Amino acid sequence: MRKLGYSVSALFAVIAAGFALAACGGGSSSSTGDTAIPKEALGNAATTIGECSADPKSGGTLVYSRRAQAQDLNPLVVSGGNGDIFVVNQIFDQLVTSNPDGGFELTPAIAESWDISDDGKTYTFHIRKGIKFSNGQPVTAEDVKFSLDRFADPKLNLILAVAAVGYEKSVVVDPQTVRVELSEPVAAFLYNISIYPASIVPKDLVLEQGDAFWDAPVGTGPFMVKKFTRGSSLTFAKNPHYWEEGKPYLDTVKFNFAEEDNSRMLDLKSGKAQMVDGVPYSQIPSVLDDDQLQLQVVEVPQFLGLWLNHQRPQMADEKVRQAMQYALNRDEIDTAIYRGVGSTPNSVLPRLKFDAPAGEVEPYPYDVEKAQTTIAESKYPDGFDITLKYPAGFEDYKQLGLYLQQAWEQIGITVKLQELDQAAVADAFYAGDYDMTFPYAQFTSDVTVPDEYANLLNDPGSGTDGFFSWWHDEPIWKKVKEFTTTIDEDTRAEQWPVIQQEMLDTSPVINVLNLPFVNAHREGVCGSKVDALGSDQLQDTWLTSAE
Amino acid sequence: MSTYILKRLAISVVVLFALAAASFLLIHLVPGDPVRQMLGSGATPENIASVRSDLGLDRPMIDQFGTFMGNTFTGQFGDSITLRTPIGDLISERIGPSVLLILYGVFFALIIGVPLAVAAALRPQGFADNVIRIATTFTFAMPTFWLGLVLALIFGLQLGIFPVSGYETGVGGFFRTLTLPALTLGLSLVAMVVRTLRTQLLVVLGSEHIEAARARGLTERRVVGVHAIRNSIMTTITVISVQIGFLIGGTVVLEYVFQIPGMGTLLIDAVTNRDFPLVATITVLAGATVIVVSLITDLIQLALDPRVRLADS
Amino acid sequence: MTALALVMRRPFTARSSLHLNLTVKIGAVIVGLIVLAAFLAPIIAPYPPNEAKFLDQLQAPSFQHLMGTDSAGRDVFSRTLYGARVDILVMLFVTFVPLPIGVLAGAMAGYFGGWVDLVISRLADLMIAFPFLVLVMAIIAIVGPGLKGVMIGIPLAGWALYARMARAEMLVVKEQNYMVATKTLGYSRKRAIFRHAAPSILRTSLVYSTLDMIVNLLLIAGLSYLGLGMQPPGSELGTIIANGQVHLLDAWWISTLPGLVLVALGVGLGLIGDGLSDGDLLGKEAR
Repeated sequence: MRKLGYSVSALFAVIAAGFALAACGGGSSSSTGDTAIPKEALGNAATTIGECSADPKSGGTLVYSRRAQAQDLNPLVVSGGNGDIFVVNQIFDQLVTSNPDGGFELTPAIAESWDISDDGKTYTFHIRKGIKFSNGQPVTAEDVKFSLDRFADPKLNLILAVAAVGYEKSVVVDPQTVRVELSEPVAAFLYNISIYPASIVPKDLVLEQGDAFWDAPVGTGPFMVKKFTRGSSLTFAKNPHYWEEGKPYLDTVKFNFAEEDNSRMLDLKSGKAQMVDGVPYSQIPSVLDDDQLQLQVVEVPQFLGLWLNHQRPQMADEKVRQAMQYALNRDEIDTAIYRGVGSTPNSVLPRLKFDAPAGEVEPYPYDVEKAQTTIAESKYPDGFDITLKYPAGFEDYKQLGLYLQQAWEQIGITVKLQELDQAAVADAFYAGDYDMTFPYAQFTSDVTVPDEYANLLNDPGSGTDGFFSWWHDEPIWKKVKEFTTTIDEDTRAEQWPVIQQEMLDTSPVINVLNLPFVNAHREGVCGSKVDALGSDQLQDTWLTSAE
Repeated sequence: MSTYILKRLAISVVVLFALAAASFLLIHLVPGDPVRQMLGSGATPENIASVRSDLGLDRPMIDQFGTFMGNTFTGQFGDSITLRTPIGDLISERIGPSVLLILYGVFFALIIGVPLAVAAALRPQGFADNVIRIATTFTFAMPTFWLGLVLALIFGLQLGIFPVSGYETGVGGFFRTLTLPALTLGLSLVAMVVRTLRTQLLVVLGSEHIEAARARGLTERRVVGVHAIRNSIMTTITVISVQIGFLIGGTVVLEYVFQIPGMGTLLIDAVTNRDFPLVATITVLAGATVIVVSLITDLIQLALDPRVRLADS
Repeated sequence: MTALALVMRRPFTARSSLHLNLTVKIGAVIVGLIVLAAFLAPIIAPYPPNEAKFLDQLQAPSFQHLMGTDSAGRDVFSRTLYGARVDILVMLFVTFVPLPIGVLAGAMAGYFGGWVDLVISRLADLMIAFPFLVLVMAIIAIVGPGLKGVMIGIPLAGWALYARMARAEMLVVKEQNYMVATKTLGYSRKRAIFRHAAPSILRTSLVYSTLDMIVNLLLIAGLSYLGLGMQPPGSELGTIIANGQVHLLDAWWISTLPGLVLVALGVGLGLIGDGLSDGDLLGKEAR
């Protein structure tokens, strides 16, 4: 739920989290329904056809035009939102990481292996042999302990201290082994340390250089910063000590920051850039039509989360919320606004691990009659007037606002649209000064498991008041608490669909649509993978033109 | 004369002071908490409180105001909230591209505008005059964000002469990356140049000074080319300098469209992040530029046109 | 605008009544047609301006939709007609509310001099120097989003240019022979201002206002581009152009065709302004 780098006219940034269903090799993303675009056109990962089926070549420079600019390279600050997160992910690794080939599972990174005690409170990590930072010095247990302690220090980890929930301490067992002790079992612990704030940094350098370290940080990631021109570009050089044999393939990667949608697409079409992220939905067809370009649609837990303020009596009325759900024709929204890349949700949260399939937990069908009878049973049978606040400068939200206005007019709800700049929307959100809102231009989970969002939305305390919805349901909250402290994965897989169903039934908030990330690249770019958190796996990317 | 200049300088300082005060106050009316914007919804209230106190944002407003004014007038500027970098450093990084863009834009406005104005003034109400008038009004009335993209589309994508966006340093990089945005800026300014210069030329051409030159048997080309333009160009430059506010506003949009890391994009980011000290500093600097340019313009006018001096004293 | 004022400073006398030359006529015809179309919008517009039909989105111009449809399937022609209406009204408001205020303030500053001049001129300097974007954002923070912010913000800054111009004009007029003459003839100061300086100042201001209207049109459009203008679903030319701009690569008509209307309006106003300022100079040439 990182806020995004935002700017005036356009959209940006990308937050994290997701599941890329398709692995490298061009499987198709599956969950979307009937859409305007042939599914085979929407694969994650580079094509394996033609030149990309050959052995990867080393060398060359990749220019990547990106919506969100980087501001701060310190993984505990990332004030620039996704612009920072995806840069930090190129520079640093964590102990474990999301599978680079996509999917919900975690794979080893700096830790080669780990053991978990039966009570779920002790994790022992074995550091990969021979792994080095980009300056050539070996990664030691001291570095890991230092980094995790920082991660758990709320004074240092300003943005996601909640991810360190339950962390008590790290103990250096030997130079290759670290034992982490938790005060209570935390089911999502490994997921929590697989993301950017838990990046492993060299202790001696950070202590020695202080803040200056973050200007040219040293990590174990595939790339290191060569030149950073704020507001314009960031150039990476290959990390010669990278731990994956033979990778990365590219010598240099240049991130061009291009918030303006058209500028970014012009970069790609003119060949100035070989890759872009955040393809505007309306330009998807033109990318598909262009022989030189490849569209890459990546399923991530991104959703159109419409937040409802339960301090408003209309929004606190369950029948009203259900009627609003029934009145939405999600297929039409998907086709008309998102060019068919979205998918109908069967949860109020984005798609996450443990979600039951649509057959088990049914999405709300589009049923105007049902919507009308449902609202007739509410305290507001004659409807009411209400305001929807959403961020300005985003073409899809403009359309969506108009669409929702029409849809809910059918059940007597008159929606007044209010377009505000992103900061003003977020501010109203945190202050509870809204009726309905799309609080973030891009709304995604930081981890692939439901723990983070289930906790936030249900927890009436922690200063976030049910994720600023002011909703509370004690029985569901109890179930969530049990879910997030159960270690056994099979048990969790049974617990979650119950919570998913109950939350969907009462719909404290509305997930209008699940959305993927939409990227594109030119022919000749191979292995452009994105992991489950939406992060580019540039260590696997190579150019057919490389010598 | 020197007392007049001194008085004028003193007044400029007072205006600058008022400007700084107004920036600070107005910016604090804009909703949005910089710390919240920076930390997002994952931050706990304790996090937020501690960062606020680290940054001194929990101090009384009047204290913060004092610090801001002190910083501004000692040229220290303090630190950016979001970027945690001295504002002075950020500005020195970003000011170059903006200044170059404005100067290059003015250059385009002049090399396009001056010949057009001369052509128009030679035969007022003639065919050329009317075409020039309509064409320049046309580019003037076109939104720059739109014109910029169209130029990028034509010269960048279709013809491939210039990169569609971006910024490079060095002489070659300057011409490659700033030509299109500067041309856009120049085109929006051409109308102003042509109008002023043409009108001024007509006045000068009708003056006794020029009649004398004609009487001396100088060719019309020489009369216009040397005498009339020399007498008119100063006014035109004055008009352009009065447009400095317009030019600064124009660069904000163009830097955004062409992805130039200048002051405009810095301001947009700062507003987005509610980085109040940075917004206030840029506001003051932009204002100061306008004030200084207007001061210089006044002084030039004073030197050129004694009537202003007479009237003012 | 000082220099413009200097250029246009010849007094407006009964002799050189509005010289309605061809330029003015052409300008007036263009502006007149647009204004007429805009105000007959409810009769002319083929569709309701805010009626979204998502299935008809992004259609190229045709006989059904003269200017095509936008991303929500709304008829761009109908929206342009209604939008022009809003623009013309807002443009007139933000131009002609500050004009008399600025002219009065500037004339006073120029005539009385001293501390009156000091206060008014520095206030004008301040308004001109203050970055407009920050000003409008602050106003919107106070009065809420929508065109209100624009309608307060532009006049708040706009009067200053007129004041500067009127002041410069007044200074010059004050020194001219015929003003000195009014004193010797025993006329009162007020009468002198009213009879001689005011028409000349007003004329300059009106000529400049044609340019100012174009600038204001662009400002309204620019603010909409930044999400600081008209709130949805209303239509306004700048909003239509700004919203369509993201489709410049895939549906050029959305921003281009209403953009041409905006430009045509601008050119029309520019021609009128030129004609008005020229009539005088031509008269002088013909002397």
